[in-house]
Amino acid sequence: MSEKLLVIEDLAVYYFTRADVIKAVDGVSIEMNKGEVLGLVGESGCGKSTLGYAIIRLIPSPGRIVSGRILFHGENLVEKSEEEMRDLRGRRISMIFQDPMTSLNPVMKIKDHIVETLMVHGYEDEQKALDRARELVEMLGIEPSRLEDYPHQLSGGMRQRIAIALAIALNPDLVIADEPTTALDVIVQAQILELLKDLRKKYNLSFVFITHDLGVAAELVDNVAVMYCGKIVEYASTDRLFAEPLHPYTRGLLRSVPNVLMKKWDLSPIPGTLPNPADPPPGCRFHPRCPHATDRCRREEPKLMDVGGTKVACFLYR
Amino acid sequence: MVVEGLKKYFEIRKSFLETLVSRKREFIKAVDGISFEVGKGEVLGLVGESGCGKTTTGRVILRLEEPTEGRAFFDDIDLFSLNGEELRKMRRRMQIIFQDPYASLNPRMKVGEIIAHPLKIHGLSEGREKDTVLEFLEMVGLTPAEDFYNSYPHQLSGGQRQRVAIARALVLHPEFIVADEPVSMLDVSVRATILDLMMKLKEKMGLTYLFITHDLATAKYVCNRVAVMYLGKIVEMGSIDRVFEEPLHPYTKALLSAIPIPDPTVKRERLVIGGEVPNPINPPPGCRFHPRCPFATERCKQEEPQLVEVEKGHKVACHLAA
Amino acid sequence: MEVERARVEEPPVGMVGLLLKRLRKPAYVGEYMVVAGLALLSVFLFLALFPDLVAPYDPIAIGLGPRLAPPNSQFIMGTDHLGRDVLSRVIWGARIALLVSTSAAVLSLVIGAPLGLVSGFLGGKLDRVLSLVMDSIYAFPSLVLAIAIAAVLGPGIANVAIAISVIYIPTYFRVVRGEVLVIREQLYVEAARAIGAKSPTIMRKYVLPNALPSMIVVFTLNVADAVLTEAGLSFLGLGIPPPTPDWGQDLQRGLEVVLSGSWHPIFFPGIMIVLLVLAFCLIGDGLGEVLNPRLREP
Repeated sequence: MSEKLLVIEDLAVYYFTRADVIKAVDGVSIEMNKGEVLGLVGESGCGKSTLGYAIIRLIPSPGRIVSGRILFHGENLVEKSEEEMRDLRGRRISMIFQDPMTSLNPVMKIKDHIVETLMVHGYEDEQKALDRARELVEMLGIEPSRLEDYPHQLSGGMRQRIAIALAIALNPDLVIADEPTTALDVIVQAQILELLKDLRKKYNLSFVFITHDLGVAAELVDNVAVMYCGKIVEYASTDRLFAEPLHPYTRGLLRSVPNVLMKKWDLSPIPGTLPNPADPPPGCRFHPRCPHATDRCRREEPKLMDVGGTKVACFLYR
Repeated sequence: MVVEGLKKYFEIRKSFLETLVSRKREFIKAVDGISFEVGKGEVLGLVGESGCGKTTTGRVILRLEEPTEGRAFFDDIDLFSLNGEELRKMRRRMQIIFQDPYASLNPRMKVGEIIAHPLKIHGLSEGREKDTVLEFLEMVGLTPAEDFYNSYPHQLSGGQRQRVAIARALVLHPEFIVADEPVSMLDVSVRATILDLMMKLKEKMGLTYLFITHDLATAKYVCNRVAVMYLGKIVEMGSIDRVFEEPLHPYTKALLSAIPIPDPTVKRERLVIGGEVPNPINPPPGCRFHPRCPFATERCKQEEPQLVEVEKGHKVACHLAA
Repeated sequence: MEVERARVEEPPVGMVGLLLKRLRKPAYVGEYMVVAGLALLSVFLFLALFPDLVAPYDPIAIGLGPRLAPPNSQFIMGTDHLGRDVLSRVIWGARIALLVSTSAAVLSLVIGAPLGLVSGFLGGKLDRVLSLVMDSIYAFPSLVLAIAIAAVLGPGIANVAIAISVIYIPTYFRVVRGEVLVIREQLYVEAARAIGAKSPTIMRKYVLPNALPSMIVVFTLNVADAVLTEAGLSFLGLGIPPPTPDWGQDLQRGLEVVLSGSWHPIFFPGIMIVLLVLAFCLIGDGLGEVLNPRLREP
């Protein structure tokens, strides 16, 4: 058994607002190997982004990691000082954001973004850094002359390519991608997805890929964790999850997305609305919207259990 | 609804100095000469990527934006020649559902007032406004209606807000609805519910939809016909079955193959095209798609293809397909 | 068909209700500021409404005690150069200060806000002309302008209020116009147009209510400013004619005797002005923070 790249144990991240405590991530355990692409899938407010930000320890205030461990190469990131994390970020764990415009400084040239990132983490010679920057953007399908441009001169797709270049510039062990294709048009999204597939094949990159789009997840990721209201409700290999979804929420979600290849779309959406994460329902958090809910679901919270290779948190399977 | 040769240009505002230097006025050609028809009871999908002019088309038809050129008829009434008062009367028959339910509801009005306001403006169901509003709240699935009647938009979820927006649009018993990306801002599990509701209401109230969306998969399931737009032009138009089974324009093919399929067992040959949508100020000459088209010829660079019917009801603007 | 259950956690309330609810349990600096300001203001309101209940003596009675007596057990704040009780004058002065400053602010709100609303919403030539006029008033040093107008109109409560209101009209105009320029581009305004609403209806029901929060903030800050301006005018002899008790006027009389060692006739009216201005500033700045969601929690 190879050493795990990332192991998350019983992690809880809460936001402490004045009125409530929002349990954005509430007892999540998950692990991934090197070279794996792990998909975190769920709807808005399910805690998938918070989980991503927690790994790189960039949770926005007033959020805090309340309990649990994040083991990265066996080291617990939760206990690291801010100093140590700063050194880790970019070099060993990096991040790609949904909107690259917010992560790029509008008054800095593309060249300076990449060179600065490289220089902060060990490149001493500016010329060498510049060479590496050129190599990087070419690899991502951008003409090196574009390095002289400012972020606003680039199209959305090109900006996202630059963001990817920045994220992989230092050969990190883990890249966290938070909805990197959501803001893009379909054709550009397809281009970026193809690019990410290429890159992982070539460089054996490991990704945590956060998305609300099951179609995107199906294309790219190896394992999927479906989150609902701060919890993982189902966790399986992509093939298994799409072929045989077990949790009623996963099934509902899959029936909610249209598939262009299918003849008919059997519209059977999930009734009700997403629960308020500040005041989640007792027992299984999905029970108010679940067609199979029993009294037990209303009282007792199901734990993630192995059912023939799929991990699922539902009383239907025991 | 018949639209003929519709154009909408937006003038680019220049600074004072720039106008001194050059007299040339520049325009964004958001919609550049499109024609289509929507039959009664039909759902026509207007599909394309951002910046293709689909939203502008919907807004111009409803006169929320003044057209630059072209004509539009609804029930043989020339929409673009209506004056203020006639237009206000016409609004009863044509309504719009906006994309963003967080911005389309007045935050200082209660849900009840929001839905009652169209009735008041047009002097309908006087004295029984509240009953009508409650009836529509139930119809869009917001029950108990009495509770929602008195709440403010900020107390509702995105899906609930969009239901309010639908009720507001339908309370006047319109015949024609422009639905501008009505579900793209909503969560995945809520989208299907709202689409379902819209289709049920269509049957119940005999509506006609112009359904604007960037999502071909959604279009496939709600529309009867679809028009694909690229840079202000319609490049392909036809019945859902034909366009999805046998897309003729390379752009339609690329769009279709770019959609992610929520099924990892499906392996497809992708038609991946490079580049991004060019600037609509100076669109490429000839066929607007030619710089990105893998099959482009010399002719495509010079001559602009017209939208021609290649089989019954299936039109395409491409030199190669026609 | 499945239905969504109503999830109305809070009782349906408007802006005022929401504000009251928040202020009952303050947690943010802004909210504490509003509460503190309101507490301070209510003291002044009480003084202004029932001065006869609080004031020990007649504020205009001359020779109640010796001239310029320092604070003592009989006259807590001492007496002024005419032997009047400073405490009583200070208490009655609150009435004039509040009356003049609030009516001036109301007057300029009533004129400035609608102009800003119409100008911003309709735009065009009207907007250009109005903006030009308002900007020229705004560019003029405000106190100088108030002095000029007050000098023309002559002293008196109403005249002072009018003089002060003129200098604040451009403030409302600019603030409301700026808000309207943003609001009229909002989707809900377009939605109103799509249901066939006429411009006056849109302005009344869609634009105005959404511009209201910033108008309230500007109003409170303007009252604070108006208190100072009123005191200034009276200080210069252009305000409230004697013997009506007025802080500005008392400051001026106090100035004449402060050099001879009597500090109390100028100190206490001065303190009152500071406290009243502070009360309105606390409310205004606090409200600005509470009502502006961009500054609040994520």
